[in-house]
Amino acid sequence: MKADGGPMRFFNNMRIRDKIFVGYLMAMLAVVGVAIPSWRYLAATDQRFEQALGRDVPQLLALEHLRDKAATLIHAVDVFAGRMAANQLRTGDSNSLAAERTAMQDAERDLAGFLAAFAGDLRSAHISATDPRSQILAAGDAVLSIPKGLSARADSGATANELLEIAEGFDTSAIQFCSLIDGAIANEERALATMHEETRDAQAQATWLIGSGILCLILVMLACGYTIANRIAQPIVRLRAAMTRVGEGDFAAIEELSTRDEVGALVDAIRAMVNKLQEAGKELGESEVKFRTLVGNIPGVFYRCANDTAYTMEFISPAVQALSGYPASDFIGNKVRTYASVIHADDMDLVNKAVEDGLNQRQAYVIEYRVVHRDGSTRWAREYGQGIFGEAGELLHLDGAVFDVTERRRMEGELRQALDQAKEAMDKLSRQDRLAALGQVAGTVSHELRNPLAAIRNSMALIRQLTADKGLGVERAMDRVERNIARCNGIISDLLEFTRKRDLNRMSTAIDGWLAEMLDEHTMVEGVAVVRELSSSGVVALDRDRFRQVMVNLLDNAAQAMTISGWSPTDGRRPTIAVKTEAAGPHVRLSVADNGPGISTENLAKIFEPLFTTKASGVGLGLPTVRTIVEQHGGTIDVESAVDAGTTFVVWLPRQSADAALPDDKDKEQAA
Amino acid sequence: MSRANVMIVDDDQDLAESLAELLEMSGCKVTTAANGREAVLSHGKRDFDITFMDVRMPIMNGVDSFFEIRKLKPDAKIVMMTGFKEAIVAKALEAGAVGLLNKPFDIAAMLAIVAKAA
Repeated sequence: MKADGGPMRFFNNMRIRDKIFVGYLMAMLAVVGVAIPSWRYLAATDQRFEQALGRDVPQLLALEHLRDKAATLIHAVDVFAGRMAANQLRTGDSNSLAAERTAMQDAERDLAGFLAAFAGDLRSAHISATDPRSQILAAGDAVLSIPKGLSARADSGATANELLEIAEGFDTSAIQFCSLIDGAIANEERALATMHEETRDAQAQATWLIGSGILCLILVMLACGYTIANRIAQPIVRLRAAMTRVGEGDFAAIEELSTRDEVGALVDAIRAMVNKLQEAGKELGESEVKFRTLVGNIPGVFYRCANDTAYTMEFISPAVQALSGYPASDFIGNKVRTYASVIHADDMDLVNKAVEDGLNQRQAYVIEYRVVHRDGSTRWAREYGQGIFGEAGELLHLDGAVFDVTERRRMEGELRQALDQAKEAMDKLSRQDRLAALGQVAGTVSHELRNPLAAIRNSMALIRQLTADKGLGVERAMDRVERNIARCNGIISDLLEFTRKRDLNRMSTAIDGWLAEMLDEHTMVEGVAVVRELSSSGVVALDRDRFRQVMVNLLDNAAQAMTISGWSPTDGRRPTIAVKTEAAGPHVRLSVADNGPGISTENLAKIFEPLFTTKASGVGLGLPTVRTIVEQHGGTIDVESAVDAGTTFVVWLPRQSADAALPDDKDKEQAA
Repeated sequence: MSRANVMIVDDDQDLAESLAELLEMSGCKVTTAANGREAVLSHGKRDFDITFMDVRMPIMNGVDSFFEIRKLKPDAKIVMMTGFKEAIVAKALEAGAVGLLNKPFDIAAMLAIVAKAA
């Protein structure tokens, strides 16, 4: 388009209105250009035809009249001459032929009249002597002179032969005249025929010319119409293309357009608008950059989501990547994933409920939930959100901020754990305090009781001597007294044992071997089987005397539970105690399991408490003592029990490391 | 004293035996049981004028046994015995236990209760 020459550029720069006007003008010019020559050509052909007709037809008619009159005159002359000749021959009288003479004279006058008229028409024209018409006139004059001669000769009494000679001469002239007329008529007719043909040809030519002209006209008009339409449309097409590019951000595209027509005005208007938009966009861009920088720098995830079933994310700040491992673009428009998809499945119900409640009550909601990070780890998130409502009270969208509180939660957890540990330690301390206080009292009381008990025992010995061999039957009662004095002493010993603080005397001990020996020496209650499975291969720093107490206590408890009167296993199983050791990491796991009546859940919680007992005899210090000894060894003790299935005590003792510096048996003996 | 039919329920065999011997010297007919379940079984077999029931016992404690016996025999006279101040005993007393003997008790107190019951 730019390469177009002057006229085309001029045309391009015309207004659309003018372009259309120019188009119409060109079409009209083309119409006129075709119509005028066609009309003129047709008119000329017509005129020629008319002219020919006006000249040739009357001439032809005149000639035909001349011929007719000549024939009539010939006939009249022949008749008069013949009769005259006949009369001459018969009578010699010629006057009796008046009628024939009159007919001949009439015919002569007729012919003379027509010949004069024929001649009169020709008089104005310059006719050459060789023209057939002048010959006809000359021949006519010759023909006309004869009847007069004949009539005069007849009156003068000419002979029949003379008359016949005159008639013969007349015939010759007449025949020449007639043949001249015939020639002229044939000429005229030929001329007419030729002209007719020419006219038909001319008309055909004119028709072809006009047809071609119209065809050309149509083609020209189509070409003009297409060109003009094209010229009008092209700037609009280019404008559209430019607008598309502007839409894609190429603002320079609008600058490349140049047209001076109405589209040009439109382009100018759009250009102005685009420039304003560009400026506005720039300002908006700057403010958006500020906003994004602000949002990006705040260590939280800000979002705005639509109020639809999927909570489609309209905006979410880039910090979401730190929280979830996925880029913000994944969430915007829910393109790749929904925000809900990163919320821990177990927390989903809680989150949904909090959001729904918040929206229903039109209150901000605060939720803490877990987010499953892309790397599989779990983060704690704290979300502050609220619904944004329109003027009519309709929910427009949800805005909120989410913060990663994993660290805080972790610290809270640690704090809680530390508090629990502190509480446990305090409990332990206070328990130890209580036990210490109890120990003091028990120690004092036990000592005080020992003396009265000794007095009772001595008195009983005295009574036994005094009543011996007297047959009083009090031996049974005395046995009972002594037996119960022994029980009291036992209880006092237990109390003192429990309350006394003693340091351990530890020696490296292969626990399996030591246990096997200990079990061999231990006298088990009749009817109770002991099975052992000692496979820990562990070495433990053990105070053997104290730990023997632990084992005896656990074994006796189990045996007593299983042999208690009134209980028998429902499935008839044999009362069995299983002693088992196994390696468990840095520990040796030692278990003592019975298949006795079990302990109720209620009692199970209290069995390690001092002074709790379910047994008829005993003060409830056995298991507390066991626990104290185990803990002194740096171990722990657990219990599991199921009613009518059995009870298992599990002791965890720290395994002695290879380089432990504790003396073993030999060292001990050598030292001793 | 008439030949009252007395039951002693206690898991301490020496205590049960000594009480039984004392009551028998006073002319009572005494049956002993070592725990609550044995006491219930005995009550199913025969009637007793009065039952002395320890509270803390293995297998079935005295209070549970009290209620089991009352199911069998709503009119059974039962006296609870305990060495501890136990709240659980109150349930039995509210439900109609005849009385409470705190260990160690004077045998005379027991004999008075037996005399009253016979």
